[in-house]
Amino acid sequence: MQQKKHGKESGKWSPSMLPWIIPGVLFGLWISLSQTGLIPSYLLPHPVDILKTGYTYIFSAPGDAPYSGRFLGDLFASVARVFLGFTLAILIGFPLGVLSGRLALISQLCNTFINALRAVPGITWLPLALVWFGIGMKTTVFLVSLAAFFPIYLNIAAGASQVNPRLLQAGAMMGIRRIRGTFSILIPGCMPHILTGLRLGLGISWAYLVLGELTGVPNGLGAVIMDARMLGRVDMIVVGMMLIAIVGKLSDGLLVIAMKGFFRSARRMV
Amino acid sequence: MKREHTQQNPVNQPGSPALEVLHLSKHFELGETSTLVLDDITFCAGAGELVCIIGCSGCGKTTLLNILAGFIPPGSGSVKMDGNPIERPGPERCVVFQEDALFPWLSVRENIAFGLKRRMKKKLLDLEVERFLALVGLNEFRDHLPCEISGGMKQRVALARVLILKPQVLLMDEPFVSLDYHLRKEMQNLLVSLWKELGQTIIFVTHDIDEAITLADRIIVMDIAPGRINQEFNVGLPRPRSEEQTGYIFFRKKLLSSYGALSFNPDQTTIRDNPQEVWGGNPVSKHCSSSKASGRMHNPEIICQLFDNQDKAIGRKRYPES
Repeated sequence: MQQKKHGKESGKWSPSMLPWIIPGVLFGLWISLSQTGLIPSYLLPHPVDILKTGYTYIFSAPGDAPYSGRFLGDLFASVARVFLGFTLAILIGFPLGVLSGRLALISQLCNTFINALRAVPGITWLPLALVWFGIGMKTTVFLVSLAAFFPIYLNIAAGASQVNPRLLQAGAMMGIRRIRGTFSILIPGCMPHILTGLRLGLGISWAYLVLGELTGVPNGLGAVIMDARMLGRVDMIVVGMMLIAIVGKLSDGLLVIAMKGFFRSARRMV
Repeated sequence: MKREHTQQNPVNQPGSPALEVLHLSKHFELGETSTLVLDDITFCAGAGELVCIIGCSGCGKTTLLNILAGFIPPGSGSVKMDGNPIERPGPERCVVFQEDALFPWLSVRENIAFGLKRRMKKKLLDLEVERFLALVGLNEFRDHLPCEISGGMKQRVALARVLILKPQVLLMDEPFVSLDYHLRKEMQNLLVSLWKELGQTIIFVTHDIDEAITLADRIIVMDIAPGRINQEFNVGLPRPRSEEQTGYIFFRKKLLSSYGALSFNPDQTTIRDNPQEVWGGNPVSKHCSSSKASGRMHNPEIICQLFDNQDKAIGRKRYPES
């Protein structure tokens, strides 16, 4: 809370400007490089072309040009896959993380296996997932939930094991039994860890979404990128990448807002 | 308010022991070594009595308090409250911790209400919280978070959130140790006035001699390594106590000689004089008859007599006349 107050006073630079400086400078560099013609446009298209392609992709009516009018469908497909996979990861990772953080038995039972599993790169799951689930929704959701599970589980387990034991003792002496204590003390007590785990999980969800969609599904932001690669449309590839960056950032912001909206502890401690 | 409280705790009659510790010993195992932390502790606290346990760091006072609270099991011996063995933490025995143990995501008001939430109607709870906010003087800070208030205020919240549960026994583990001198004095006065109003039994652990003399009905001095009871005596001084009182200075010297000797030479035994003199004349001891404990006692009878008149003068009769 106090940090926010200080943040508003910092210097003559408005803090809301700060996040845009690095993208702005890079964009400027890109424009000047493209103008000189040092880099051929089949390697890196001119920013103006990118903007045009992006505009067509997002706003034009279907059939006007290749990729026009597909945006909403692709976005919806991708968001649905991320949402499902991420939710699945929370449903498994959250309770398991809390249990493993509090009970030595569970952590001894699970940790070795989970850490070994974590060492396996996500991309190596792709062939197996294709065999199991075929091309499409199921494979992508599987990959997303697998990838998002680890940061959620690990962060929540760490948070649950590090929660100040005095808080739990305080609850016990006030007559709060275990079940209620878990919800009213333990979970709020490790809320910063929970939020970190969820944000990391959601971030990696978008990465694995693209991996899942690279396999030839008809729609989705990752599918558009793969399709554009085959047709040599580098401008469309860049548009797809930018859209994923924007949607990923927005979803992260929405996650934080939602958590702060639902949980008093997230509002007051993060 | 006082009447209401005694109605809720019918056991809380003067003279009967609220807490009874008999031959309590506790080992801590660390790898293959086993350390004796508490050695044959025997004492009891009468209902409504304010007992200070004083000892230097590492003498096991916090362990003793954790056992009384039910956080850790006793090794050997028995720990009883109203005749029932203490097995788990419960709202009848509340703890005020040394460090800040408030819930950082709850405001002052919500912290105080925490223990009673879902146990009474919201309107009643709000009224009760108002009352305890006023008792500890935190009305203006009701909506502040713990990170936004000072250390002294935090300990006042910690006190209020357990007092609202109307515990029969209040266990305090050096709660004012991190506060500055004036704040500590202020908190001690607050504690005494709240105790007079609500009348719980208080076990107050401290390493501060002045704090013990200021607060206690009875002081228990603990030895270090292993922790055992070295001395036990009544402080019959009238309240409020001031450092200039003759009695206060007397106790201060007395404690300083034993406590100071203890901290530098834990094995010193000369202060355990008069092994024959038991404290049988003290009404409190009726409930605790440990030969070992009494063998070590100073004779508190003399001290009691010294201040008996003062006790009567302030009308504080905690024990039946003998």
